[in-house]
Amino acid sequence: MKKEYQQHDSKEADIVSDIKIEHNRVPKLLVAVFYVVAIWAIGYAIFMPGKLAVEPAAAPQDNKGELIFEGTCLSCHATGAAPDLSGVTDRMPEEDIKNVIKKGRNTMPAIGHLYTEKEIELVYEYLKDYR
Amino acid sequence: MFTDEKWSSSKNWFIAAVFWIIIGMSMGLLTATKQIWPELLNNRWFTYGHVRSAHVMLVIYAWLSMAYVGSMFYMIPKLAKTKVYSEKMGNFALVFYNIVILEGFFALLLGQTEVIEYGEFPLWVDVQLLVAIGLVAYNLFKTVGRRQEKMLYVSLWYFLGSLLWLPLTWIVGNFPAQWIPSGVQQGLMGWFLGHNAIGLWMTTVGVGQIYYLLPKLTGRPLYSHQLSMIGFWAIATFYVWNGPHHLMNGPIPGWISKAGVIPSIVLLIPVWAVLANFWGTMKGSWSQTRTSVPLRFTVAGTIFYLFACLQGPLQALPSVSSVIKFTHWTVGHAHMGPFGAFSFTSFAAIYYILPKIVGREMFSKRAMEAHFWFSTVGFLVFAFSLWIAGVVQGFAWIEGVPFLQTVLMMEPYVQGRAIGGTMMYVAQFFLAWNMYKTIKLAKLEKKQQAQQQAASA
Ligand code: HEC
Ligand code: HEM
Repeated sequence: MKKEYQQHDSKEADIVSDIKIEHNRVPKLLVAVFYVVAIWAIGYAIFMPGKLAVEPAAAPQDNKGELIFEGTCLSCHATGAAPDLSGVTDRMPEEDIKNVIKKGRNTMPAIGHLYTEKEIELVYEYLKDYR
Repeated sequence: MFTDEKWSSSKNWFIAAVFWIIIGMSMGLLTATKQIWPELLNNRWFTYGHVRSAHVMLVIYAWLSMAYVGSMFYMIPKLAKTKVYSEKMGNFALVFYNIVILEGFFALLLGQTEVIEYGEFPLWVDVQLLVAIGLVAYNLFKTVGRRQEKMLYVSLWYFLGSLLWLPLTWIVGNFPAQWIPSGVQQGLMGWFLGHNAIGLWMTTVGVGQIYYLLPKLTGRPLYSHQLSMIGFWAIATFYVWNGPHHLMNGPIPGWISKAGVIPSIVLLIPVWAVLANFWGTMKGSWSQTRTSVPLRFTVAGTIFYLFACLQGPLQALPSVSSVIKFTHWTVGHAHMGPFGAFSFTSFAAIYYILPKIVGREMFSKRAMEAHFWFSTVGFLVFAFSLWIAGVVQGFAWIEGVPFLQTVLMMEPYVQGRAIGGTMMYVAQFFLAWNMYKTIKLAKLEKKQQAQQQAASA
């Protein structure tokens, strides 16, 4: 009764659970792939940082006001859920606008705690040019 | 109360699985539709977040997992040349498992979630699910313990491995996360669960199914014992490492990142070994895919498995990840394995096993064909919409296009996805209807036979 598995290359098949199992050799192409992958892996482990190298921003960001405005305010103020803010600095005094940002108003939530005084100033500066 | 009938566990798990694929995919289609009409069913229960989590958890842990257990309740005893250790316990576990899934489903709709992808059920559900999985594993291990066949066929290695790995993954992913500091650590623990639910459960049981189905459906011998060894041990060794590739370029240490990227690429070894073995076995049998729907489902599954595993290692690279991360691309990839590859092999398993259990062939060949073509074409429309969307979206973000504008740019692709998704969804009704008819007719025929025998006696 020959039931032992053998690592040979005979075409003789074993039968396990009524399923025939052949002993064909591993295709050469596949062996080549195995080696390439293994060598790549070692190389990657030694030589690569494992993350995207990000260059530090060239100049200090001078568009912070714009970034905050587009990233936060527009989520509401460009959707119809909140008033359009173009030219808002003409119709509202600076103090009121900053207060709306800091303390909220009716359905606008207070978001002052997310930003420094300086950042709120930058957003205000940006609003002046936003029309 | 619970039946002891031969093969009843397998059959009943399959029936429950198909019930849940319909519910789970309804949730998916609702999610896709909400991306077009956000107002749709916008009530306390069916908000976008609730519905999306419910979809993901149901298709994985209800549909796919129950179909897997159904297959194993047939394939394991067959391979072990013995009976199921306890059909009664198998049926009890099924009822219990379904109650737990229902609890989880309602918890998610109520807004209770652990916020861990693929582990969203709250803790009180997790504990029960673990018990249910434990019951199934115990029953199946006992079955193998009583085997009449000395050698373990390769499918058995995969099944037994998966039945140990799933509870392990579930424990590590769900429980300690409650106590460790939040942030990066929890993210990594969460992706241990997320990735291994994919790699050491969905993939490994599915591969076990294919190893069983191909020789049976083609009548050809398995191509190479050595390739099955390489495939199994390399998957078992390298898959657990892959969690960090889901956090690529995130705030994780560089060495963890590398420890995630390297095994992702090394996975090409087991994947190609397994596929070479499958396609070696198929040699000379390709023409049979024209007539045999189960074989066609299996082979299509292997092809989608290959594509998933060509995308995967690329996605793990930091450069590629910086484009496709958080885009629709990932969602396209995330459906190729669980749907394209392993739901397909589970469909094949149902079409192969159910007729053997009920003693009559599937009621309608045309419904099987429709099931295949709607699933395949639907999936391709769905996936290509998302892949194109993901690339467009990824580069638009890099260019700095305002976010809202990028959302609007996605409109046509999101619609394409919903159309493909509708086809995938419709396909499953052919499966459900065909199963229902087959089981009902088989019962009727048995009754008639018994009557005839009684009359002639
Ligand atoms: C969550 C949504 C939301 C966000 C985010 C938001 N807003 Fe508002 N905002 C509103 C709503 C709603 C109103 C109208 C409130 C009312 O009816 O009194 C409003 C009103 C305003 C007003 C008064 C406009 C007027 O014509 O009276 C200003 C100024 C304003 N927001 C500035 C901002 C700025 C600056 C930001 C970003 C830093 C911002 N908002 C972010 C929702 C939002
Ligand atoms: C060698 C094979 C594979 C590798 C290396 C791989 C790699 C990856 C990577 C890197 C991601 C993260 C993408 C991102 O978030 O930007 C991912 C996501 C995913 N993969 Fe794969 N993948 C492989 C095969 C598979 C298979 C076979 C399946 C299914 C059985 C699968 C299912 C998923 C799912 C569900 C996600 C989505 C995760 C999420 O929700 O964010 N993958 N894969």
